[in-house]
Amino acid sequence: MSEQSFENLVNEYGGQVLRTATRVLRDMNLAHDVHQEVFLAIWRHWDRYNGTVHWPAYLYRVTVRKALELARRRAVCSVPVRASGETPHGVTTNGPDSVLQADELQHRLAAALSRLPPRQAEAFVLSRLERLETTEVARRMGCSEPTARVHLHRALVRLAHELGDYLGQ
Amino acid sequence: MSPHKVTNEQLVQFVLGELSCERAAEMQAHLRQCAPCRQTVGRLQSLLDCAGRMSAVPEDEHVVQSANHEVLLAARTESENQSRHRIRSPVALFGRMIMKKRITQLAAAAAIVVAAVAGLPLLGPLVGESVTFAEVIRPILNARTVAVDMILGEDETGPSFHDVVKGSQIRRTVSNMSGIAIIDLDAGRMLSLDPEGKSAVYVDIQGPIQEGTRDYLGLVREIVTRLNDRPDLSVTELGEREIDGWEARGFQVSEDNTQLTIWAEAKTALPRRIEIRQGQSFTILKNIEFDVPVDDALVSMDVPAGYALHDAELNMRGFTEQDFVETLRLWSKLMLDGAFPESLRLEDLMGQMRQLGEKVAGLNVRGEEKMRLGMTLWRGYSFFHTVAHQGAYHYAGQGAKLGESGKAIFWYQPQGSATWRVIYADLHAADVAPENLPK
Repeated sequence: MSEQSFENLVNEYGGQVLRTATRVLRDMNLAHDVHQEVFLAIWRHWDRYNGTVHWPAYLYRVTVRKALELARRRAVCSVPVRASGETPHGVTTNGPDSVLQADELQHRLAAALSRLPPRQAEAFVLSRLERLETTEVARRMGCSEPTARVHLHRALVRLAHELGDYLGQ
Repeated sequence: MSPHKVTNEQLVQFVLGELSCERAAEMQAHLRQCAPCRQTVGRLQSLLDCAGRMSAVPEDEHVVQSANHEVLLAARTESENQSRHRIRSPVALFGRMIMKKRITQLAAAAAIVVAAVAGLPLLGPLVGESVTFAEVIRPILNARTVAVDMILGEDETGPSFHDVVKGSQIRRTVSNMSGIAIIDLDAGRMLSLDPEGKSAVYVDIQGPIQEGTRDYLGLVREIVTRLNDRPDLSVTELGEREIDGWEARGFQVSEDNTQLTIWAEAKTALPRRIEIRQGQSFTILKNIEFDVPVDDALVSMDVPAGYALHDAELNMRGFTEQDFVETLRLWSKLMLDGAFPESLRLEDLMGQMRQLGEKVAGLNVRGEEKMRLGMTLWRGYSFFHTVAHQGAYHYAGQGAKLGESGKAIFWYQPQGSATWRVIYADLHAADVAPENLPK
């Protein structure tokens, strides 16, 4: 396939890749890295791709995996450090504090996500961050709907357990 | 539903609304009595709320375009690095010269030529104006950043350059070279990077090269801003045609030996292709993008992390008629078995640069001499371009043989001179009055 068709691919799906990576990583710079890694990896083997690739689905999967890999490598750095003795709160109130807490919770969730088994993390990202219907999640994960649901349910249970007090209640 | 029978899986199903109405009612009843399950459901709900907030990513088209542009640039650079027929980058060459190692010093020098001639002036002033043409040139005049491909030669098979321009800074890659040049036009400096060898070198391009190494669209900009000064020149409309996949409308302005053609998209008036003919040289600007987001890091003159900076700086100033004569000698001797080229065109020389480099590298002379020859080649061609830009010249080397006496192959009128300089096939040069020039 030609350089022009690669350029078309980047221009058509670059936004999708960047947004998905941003949702997972909560960091535009890291999302840029993922965007570049995803497309350069494709470009390096461009002559091996043929017309049968379903690009939106393929790019979702690759992006989520790359973003989670990166998140795993950087999880420790991306989580704000809580001052010692401070008690975590749930995000239940309004005001500046709750904004900060919401931001921290998102970072904690992103970090926890990176520690999940890959299939569970993928199911969570596609279902809850990309807001895809279960049918579509299953299609993009290459599995049945019940299997996709199981992965998602386990991801939710594990995340709720891991984030514990940060989620309040 | 007793606590013992409620699983986490069911709590998740409840929160996700996957339970039937009957089962959901049972779960609600259970939750009223069971604090631990109530807490788990609350946490799951908070988790979903948090995920919902994370899913909302603001759409910023500029950020997306910038990221896309960067990845395409990186892909292009990788391709160029992997090109089987690449020649060494200027930086690699420079590095070798500085380290006085043997091998392809000449190729390096040749690469310098390629990089340098890429920037030389292509056009003299042009003119003409019409309302529609004004629309077409507006983005050329107003764009703050530009990305553009420049291709030498009409058949589009010649060497090409990709420029990303921001203000006075240019990031330039060349199709058959592995290097990247970051050019600061205001400062008269170039940072030459070799992504393969991770080496960097600063090149002093002040003087004529600073003037000549330029942003090509900026050159077009200068030309069109002078349109009003020449009411004797007018814009010719070329009508509509499909150009590079666009329904485009063409405009053409000619002056002396220079012709500028702009093909603009019919719907948007955005220039999609610009052709510049000057004498025998033909240049195409295409894939033109205006106001693309350009990260400052892309055009930064700082040495990128991981690159080793060579401590020597190269000075590319100064070239003379003698350099041009030596260039003709090298080209004829090494490439054409004593004949002279059919024409003097940038794309001809650039197309043969690699072979010329290999020929010089194969000469049985010392490394320093090879380096000198490479630099001579560059200076000679720079001289030619300056002559072509400043005044009248004529090339008549077709059919001549190196050493042939009395056969004029090139003549030009130096700026401000009443007489002409004529170079003969035996490569001596002489002053000649206009009335005595070859017919």
